[in-house]
This record gives sequence, C-alpha cells and structure tokens, in this order.
Amino acid sequence: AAPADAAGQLRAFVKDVRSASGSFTQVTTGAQGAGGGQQQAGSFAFQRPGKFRWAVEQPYEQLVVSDGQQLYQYDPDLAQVSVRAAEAAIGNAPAQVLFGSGSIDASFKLEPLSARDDLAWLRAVPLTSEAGFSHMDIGFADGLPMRIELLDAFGQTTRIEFTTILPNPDLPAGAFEFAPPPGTDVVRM
Amino acid sequence: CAAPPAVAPVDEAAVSAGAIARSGRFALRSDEYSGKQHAVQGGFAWRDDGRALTLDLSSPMGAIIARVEVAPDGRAVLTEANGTVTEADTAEALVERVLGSPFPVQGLRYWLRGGLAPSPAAQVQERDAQGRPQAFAQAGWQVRVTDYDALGPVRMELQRDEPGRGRIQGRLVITPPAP
Repeated sequence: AAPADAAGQLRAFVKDVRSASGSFTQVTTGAQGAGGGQQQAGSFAFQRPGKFRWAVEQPYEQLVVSDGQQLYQYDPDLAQVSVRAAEAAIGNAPAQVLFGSGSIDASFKLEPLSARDDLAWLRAVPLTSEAGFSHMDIGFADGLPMRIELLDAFGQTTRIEFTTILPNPDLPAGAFEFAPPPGTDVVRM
Repeated sequence: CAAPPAVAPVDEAAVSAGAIARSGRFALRSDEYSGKQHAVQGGFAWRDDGRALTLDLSSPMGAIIARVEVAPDGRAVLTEANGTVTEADTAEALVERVLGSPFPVQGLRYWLRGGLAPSPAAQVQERDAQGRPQAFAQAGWQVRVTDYDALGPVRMELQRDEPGRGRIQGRLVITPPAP
C-alpha cells in the first residue's frame, strides 16, 4: 500500500513521479519583512533528473528554469537573466527537494510532524546553516506534495500551495529551455 | 526657450520625517574590466521611518537572506541568514559585502521618495511634468527614474563607473501594493 507517513510519501514521490506540472500560489508573511503578505501565483513543471521550471506569473513575472546543465533566473521587468551551473544553490529549496533527484538525506534531516488539514506533514531541516532558512514543512496527500511552509532565518514564513499538480503529464517540447528575449541582459556566472 | 517646469517643492523635513515602506525586486550587474561578470537578482523590502532604515534582501522564494539595519546615526548592522552579524560605519560598506557590488543605500533614502540627497550636490539632467527628478547624477551614480507613483519612483535604473574596476548597473522595480 502507498506509504502513509510524509517521509515515505516524499521518497516514493521522488522515486516514482518522474515528471509533473501544475500551478501554485505563494505568500510570504510574518515578522515585517519582504513581500509584506502579498500573494503570488504561477505555474511549475519538472522532469527528473535535473529539469524544472518555476514561473511566478502574478502580480509580476519571474522565471527560474533548469535544463539540467544551466540554471536561468529571468526577470522580464528587470530585463536580466543570470545563468549559472545547474547545481548552484539558488535559494529555491522546494524545487531542490521536490524536483531534484539528488539524495535528500545529504542536505536535510526529515522529521515527522502531526497531521494537519488532512495532510501528512514532515519537517525538512537543512544540515548546514548555509541553506539560508530554518526549516521547510511539506504536507502530502495521496503521495503528492500539496503545501509547503518555509520558515526563513528572520521569522518570516513563505506558504506555497500547489493548487494543481498533474503527475507524468505530456510536457511541451522545450518546456525546460530558455531563450532570452532581445534586449535582455545575459549575465553568465 | 520655455521656462523649466515648476519644480515640486521637496521639503527636506517632510521627506526625512515621513515613513516609507516599499518592496520590490532588484537586479545588480557588475562588469569588471577584467571581463569578470557578476549578477545578483532578488527581492527587497525597504522600511525607512526617516531615522532608522531596515533593508531586507530576499531570495526568489521570498526567504530573507540578509537584513541591513541602519541606525539614526548611520551605523549599520548586517545580519545574514546563516546567523553571521557584522557592523560597520556605513550601510554602503555592508551591502557591498552581501551583494558583491556597491549599492547607494544612503542616496536611495532620498531617491525612493522622489527627492535628492542634500549632499553631495546632484546634477539634475531631466525632470518630469511634475518637476520630479527623472535623470540625475549624485554620489557617483547616474540614476534614471522611468516610472513614478504618488509615493515616489517605481522603476529606476542606476549606473556607476568605478575607475580601474568596471561598471555597475542596477535596476529596481517596486511591486505595486495589493489592490
């Protein structure tokens, strides 16, 4: 039978769900800080190993795409894209844990949490303080991640809700490619 | 030639007394003469009550990676997400440590309000219809404001040429407050 505990569901998800796509909402709140509680919304997709796309679409656009070799961080308002090696940590822990295929245990300690809102929860605690946040709670249902609550080092919480998540979809060709529009500053790091 | 547009009076006391809170995104890029390129992109939250300033720099996921607090006397404290705390006489020195390139914190305390810092003297090249600075040079930075709202600039481009080192370019976009 499918694992009931969150850690079991996470490991099965990383092993069995080779690709997925969907939409998310994201809001950062808490001890007065960046974001100020404003909600963002967007879409995501990933294909193991190494390819993922995280696109904020409202109220502004911001795109992070990894094609497995390069990681692109593009902001159309700022007309700049920075290009790094795919392994470079870019402060996107949820993508690293959920969409990657590297061993989670190399970077996080997983602790079970009590069930809440019909979800099975776990807490991923980074093994080093260089991760830049305190911990990330992930809530699962039916083997799929549904919600993430990331507590940063300044007491702010970023809540991400996967409003839709479709395992093993047929992804459009070039879903994980990025071509900077003309006039974009391309900075290779 | 036509008289220059009426200049909206910038009342220094009002500018410094009033609190301002802005959040948005920034992109900084430095191109060194050596050919080395460096870029930083992220979110920021700026809270200035005219005396103390708090500047939060955050990752694309919204998590704060560094916080710079500037006391009324100008002394600055940098707290990084990994817990490291550093103090310095100026915020400029501290933010350069986090971002890797200079960032005009002191100037921005005035520019973000649509004003100009009292010193060093600024050269205003263009003003908009309301007389607000649209292109100006101050403290070694060339600044262009391409968009304003009632509070101040919402889109700015900054550039600084560091003799012997290279060029730094920055862009700031203020995220409109939730409707």
